[in-house]
Amino acid sequence: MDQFPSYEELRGEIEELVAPRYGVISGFQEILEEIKVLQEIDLKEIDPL
Amino acid sequence: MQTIKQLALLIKSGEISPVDCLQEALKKIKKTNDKSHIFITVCEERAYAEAYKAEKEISRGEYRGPLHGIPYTLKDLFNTKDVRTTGGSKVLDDNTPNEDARVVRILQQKGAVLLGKTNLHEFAYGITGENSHYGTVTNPHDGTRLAGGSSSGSAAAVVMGQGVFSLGTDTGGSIRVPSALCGIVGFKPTYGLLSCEGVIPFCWSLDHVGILTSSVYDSQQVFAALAPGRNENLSFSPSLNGLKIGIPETYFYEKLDPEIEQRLEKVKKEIESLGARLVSVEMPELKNSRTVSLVLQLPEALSYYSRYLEDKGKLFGDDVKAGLTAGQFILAEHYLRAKRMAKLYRQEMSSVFQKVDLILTPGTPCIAPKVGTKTVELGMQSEAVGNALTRFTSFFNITGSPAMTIPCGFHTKGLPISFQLIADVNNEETLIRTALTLEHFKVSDGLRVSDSGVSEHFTKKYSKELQKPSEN
Repeated sequence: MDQFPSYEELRGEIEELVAPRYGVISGFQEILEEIKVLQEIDLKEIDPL
Repeated sequence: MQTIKQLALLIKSGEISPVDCLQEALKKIKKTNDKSHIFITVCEERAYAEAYKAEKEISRGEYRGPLHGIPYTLKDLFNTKDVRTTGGSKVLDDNTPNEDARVVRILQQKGAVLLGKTNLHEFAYGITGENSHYGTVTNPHDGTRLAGGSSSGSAAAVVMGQGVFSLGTDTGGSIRVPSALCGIVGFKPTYGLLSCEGVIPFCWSLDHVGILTSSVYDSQQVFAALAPGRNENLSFSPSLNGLKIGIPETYFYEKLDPEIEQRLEKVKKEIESLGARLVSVEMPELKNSRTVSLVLQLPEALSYYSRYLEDKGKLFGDDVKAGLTAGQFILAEHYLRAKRMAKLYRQEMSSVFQKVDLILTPGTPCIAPKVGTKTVELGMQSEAVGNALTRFTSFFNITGSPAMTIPCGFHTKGLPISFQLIADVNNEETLIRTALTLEHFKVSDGLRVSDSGVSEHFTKKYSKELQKPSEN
């Protein structure tokens, strides 16, 4: 995490993101898994603009 | 609950003065705001200045149109000159802009009277309207339930007659969902049509400015004022002959409260009886659309709000901070893929609108949940409350399509049910004309309004406060 250019002020939240204890951050792991699904979709030549 | 249609006639004829209207609204606010939390800031001084100005102009015969002298409210994301603009956050507790947002300047030119700034989910970062800083606005029909968000105060203000209309923002349903849960009309025009200049952003790619009113007619009046030259003289049609309305084959009629499903069936029959043809349509594959929306929202929000982290980071609410934290881990490639998916959705919806004029869906899959609800049970499945409430709305922020939620009756639990109409981008004309027709033929079914101009439930809830003599 020291190598990652994250915001210092949000560091306290990262642990909660990785291993939720308070339930404040929920569903992040789910988002990461869903992003993997997005990456498998063939978007052909579609640009982002 | 008063309407622009009623009030404008009375104001124009001189039967009611804008100052009287303002005083009436301020009385209601003062009697209930301690409990309702609808307003973060009431701008009494500015309101009186605008109302007196309108009164003088109208008495001189300088009537500016249907919004002249009409009191309205703004979600507290719209910058207002010399009036505190908090975004519903302690981070901006002392923020006083030196200029009005562009849409506010237009309303001022039309002679509307700004009453105050309404409560919201902090920085529009949620759909429940729960706010730990300024209090949670509860549903005017049942104080144990959510008003919905993020434009919670705007929706409740319209129901309570504390301002005749309100402007809000909608990033995933933040105008349409609270409107649906509170039983009013919520309208999000095409992406970019109403200016976001001077509005605190949440997600530039998805934010829409829009309108909350008690009727479709009123919504059209405000829209015409904010987007001059577009659809100014629309009226209802004698029938819906020739109109093709798409009913999505999947997703939008699944996992619904049974009473909402029944009510939508009734709406469909009434629409058919007016001459429209209902056509089954295949929609784009929607199962990934929530992820696309989130992957756009999280880094865009972080990009904007990171400016406050160093000095005021501790003042963010837990849910906002959690979202900002997550935003750090969305890679550029993820974000660009989401942007490409959004373009694909827009192309696919354009094809859908080659086949139909409009699409009809429920506004929300459930009625207003209880305050504090984390998950709702629908179709024998548990779903996070935020996902459920935005299930039928957020996709149309990605596509930028104009969409309107319209009340169509009440659940046996006493809470409103709404349907949603969606049109192709820049086809507000068909959307509004159809909605006006449905309103005219009473397919839409607004609030039960008491003689005092406040919804029956709220009259009961606040009966003691409303009976107290005014302090003014």
